[in-house]
Formats: sequence, C-alpha cells, structure tokens
Amino acid sequence: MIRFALPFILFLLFLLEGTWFQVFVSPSLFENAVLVPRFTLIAIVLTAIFRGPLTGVIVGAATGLLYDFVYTDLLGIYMFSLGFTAYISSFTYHAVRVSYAWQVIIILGAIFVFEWMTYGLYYVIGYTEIIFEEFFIMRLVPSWILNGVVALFLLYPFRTLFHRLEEYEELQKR
Amino acid sequence: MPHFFSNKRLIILMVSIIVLVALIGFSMRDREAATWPERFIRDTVGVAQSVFSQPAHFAAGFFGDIRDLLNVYEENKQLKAQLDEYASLSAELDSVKQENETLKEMIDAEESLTDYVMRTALVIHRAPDQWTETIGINKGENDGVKKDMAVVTAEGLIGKVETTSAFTSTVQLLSDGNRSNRVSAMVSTEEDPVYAFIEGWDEEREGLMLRKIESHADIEAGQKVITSGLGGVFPRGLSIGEIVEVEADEYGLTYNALVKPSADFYNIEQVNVIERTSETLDQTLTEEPEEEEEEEPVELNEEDIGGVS
Repeated sequence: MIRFALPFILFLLFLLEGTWFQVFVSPSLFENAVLVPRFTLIAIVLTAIFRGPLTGVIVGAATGLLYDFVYTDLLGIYMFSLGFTAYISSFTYHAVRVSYAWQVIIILGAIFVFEWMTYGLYYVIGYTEIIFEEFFIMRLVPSWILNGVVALFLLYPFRTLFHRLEEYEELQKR
Repeated sequence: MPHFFSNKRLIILMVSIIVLVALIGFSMRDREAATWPERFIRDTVGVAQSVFSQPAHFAAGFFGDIRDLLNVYEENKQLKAQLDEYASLSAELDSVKQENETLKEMIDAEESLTDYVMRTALVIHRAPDQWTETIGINKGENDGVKKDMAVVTAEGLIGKVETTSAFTSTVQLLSDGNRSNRVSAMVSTEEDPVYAFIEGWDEEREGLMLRKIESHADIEAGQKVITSGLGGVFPRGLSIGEIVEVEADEYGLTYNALVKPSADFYNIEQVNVIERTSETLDQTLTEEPEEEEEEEPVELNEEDIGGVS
C-alpha cells in the first residue's frame, strides 16, 4: 500500500490547490499580492531529494502534465517547468536528507526557479505583460512566504513517508 | 548537483525543450476542441474536484452566514425601504411585459435575442496560478454546454465557456487577460443604445475596459452596461456592470470607459450557463429574401462582425 502513498498524496495536494485553497483563501483578500499555492512543487522537490533525480523528474513531469490538462489550455509549460525544477533540485546528499534547513533552502530556491520559469514562458508567449520587478514583488515574495510556511508543515510527514518507503524496499529485497 | 549537465543530459534537455515548443505551438492555435486525453483527464479529475469543493463551499458558506447574521439589522432596514420601490417596479414590469407581448404579436416576431435557456452548474475549481483567470464547472457536453456560451451569476455576466469535456467545462472569466477575450456590449443611454466591446481587465483600477465607443456617443459615469447579443452566442440584456470613468483612447478617435463589473469574480459557488435560443441575428433578415428567389439569403454570422461573442 505504501507504494501508492506518494502519488495519492501528490494528487491530494494537487486537488487542494485548485479547490480548497481557492475557496478559503480568496484572491480578493490581498490587493497587492498574488498568492499562488505550490504545494505539489514542495512535494516534488522533496521526492527529488529523497528518491533521486529520475523519480523526481518523472513525478514532476506527470504532475505538470496533469496541471496543464486541468487548469490551463496551454500544454507543456508546467510539465517542462516542474520536471526541470525537480531535476536541478535533486541534491541527494546525506547531509541534505538529514537537515531540515537545507531542505527549506532548496525548496525556496526551487520555488524561485519554477515561478521565474513559468513567468518567463507566459511572458514570451504574451499571456502577461508585467515586468520583472512587479512579478518579484507581487508574486515571488508572497509565494516564498506562503509556500515556505506550508513547506515547514510538510517536511516531517514527507521524511517519515520516505523512510517508510525505504524500509519497505529493504524488506522486499530480502 | 553532482550529476548536472553531462553530454547525455544536455541532449535530453534539448529534446525536451523542442517538445515543449512543439506542445505550446500546438496548443496556442485556436483549437476548436480539446484533445481526447485532455478531456478524459479533465472528466476524471472533475469528479474528485466535485467531491472536494462541495464541503469547502459549504464551510465557506457557513462562515459567510455568520458574518451576514451580524449585520442583519442594518440590512433589514435597507431592504424594507427598497420593498416599496419593488412593488411599484414589479407592477410596471408586468404592464411592460404585456405590452411587449402584444407588440411582438403585431410584428410576428417569435424569437428575440433576449430568449435563452439556463443551466445551473457548480464551480469545482479555479486555476491556482492566476496567470489565466479560469474556473471549472461540473456541467459539460453531456448536459448541453457548448463552447462560447455565456456564463452568469445572479449578479451578472462573469465569462464564457472556453473548453468543454463530457462532464466538465472551463469558463474564461471576463477578467482574463487573453486578447481573444471580447464581449460585444451596449450601454443603455436615454437615446439610442451605444454599442462597444468589453476588452480586457484593467489591473490597476480593478475594472473591465469598454473600448471602441463612438466619439459622438453620450456616455457618462453611472450608466449600465449590458450584453448586446450581436456577437452571435450571447443573448441580449445580461448585466455586465456600470460605467465608472470615461476617457479618450490613445488615438483620440473613440472613447474608452472603465466598467465596474456587477458580478463578483471571486467567491463564485454557483453559476448559470446560458444558451441563446434565437439562432440568427435578426429573423427578418433571413426570412425576407424568400420572395425574391434569386438572391441569397443574407445571413449575418460571427465573421461579419469580427468573431466576437
């Protein structure tokens, strides 16, 4: 059962972004900030750290494709950005795996890369005309704060989950 | 990053960039319908989203109710004052309706641009990355929802159906910044109605832009903006908003106006999808030429007025 836990949790986070978050945290509450939940991104970065770059990229691209299909009419943007972010954030060192601080720093870096990439792609396509400074203040900083706080809550459960997964795999090998 | 960018990985990166460009190019075209994997995934995810969003709306509604309870007294006073006005208005409406009926009978008009059927749908998601302003609803092709139909809440127009799948569809809100997001609107003035287009959203002033108003038109703040029904898909007379500001456009040839939308684009729980029953722009235009058989019937369709809905 535990093998299906990761996809299930990812799907759950994916649904929360579009439904609960949008209902309870109304965009009209904040005038000068655009709060975009990136819960799946946090989970994908942690997957890349604990499970290696290949799993990270696969999980990232799959979730991105789901995102493209459901929420946007444009295909490819999220699939590519999530896959790429998962790849460059796959620091699989032991020091990173045991330290929450490193994980938070990597997640914040990944959020920056990801937000900047999606902004860049939308800018190139012509969907948005806001300049970089505006993007930085209105989107990136709020996104760092929001998702950074959420990441703090997700770190421990995910570490436990990945430890369980490893134990399960050890058992399978015997 | 110990494994970063060896030759093999560079090739993979290049290939995926090419795939990305190809995918974007494919989906940037004005697609008539979504591809089958998209529709399948949307339907499947839509089921889960419905399950999730209903309790959320319920809980949000509960807190909203508590807030409402606190200012019930004030509201009641206001409503009582409005009630008298309402009685006289509804009497007037009745007589106007009757008059309208008889007038319609006199000119044998069976259909008008104001006729429509309405389907109620629940909002199941909203695009979380606010680059595009879209929401998902739980009615799709199987319920008769088609592309470009008007979507309204109780307060007024909020957008149009962008894509459909079997059980869900995506609604593009009026506040979406996409250039193809246009609605043919009219302003009811004391003289003739003035026709113009709702085009885009003003981020700074938080309002819709009504563009291409003729310069001799008599437009001022406070006037109501409604759909004109000339675009081909929307019925006439759906409320859009109220004019706040009027200014000359950048070339000085026409006027632009800032419109405060009457509907709330956030906190949407339930919407109505509207299907216009009258097919053509004006019934008389297609019927008249029947007597002179050589002439082709004049049909005004979307292209004649620039594919606006």
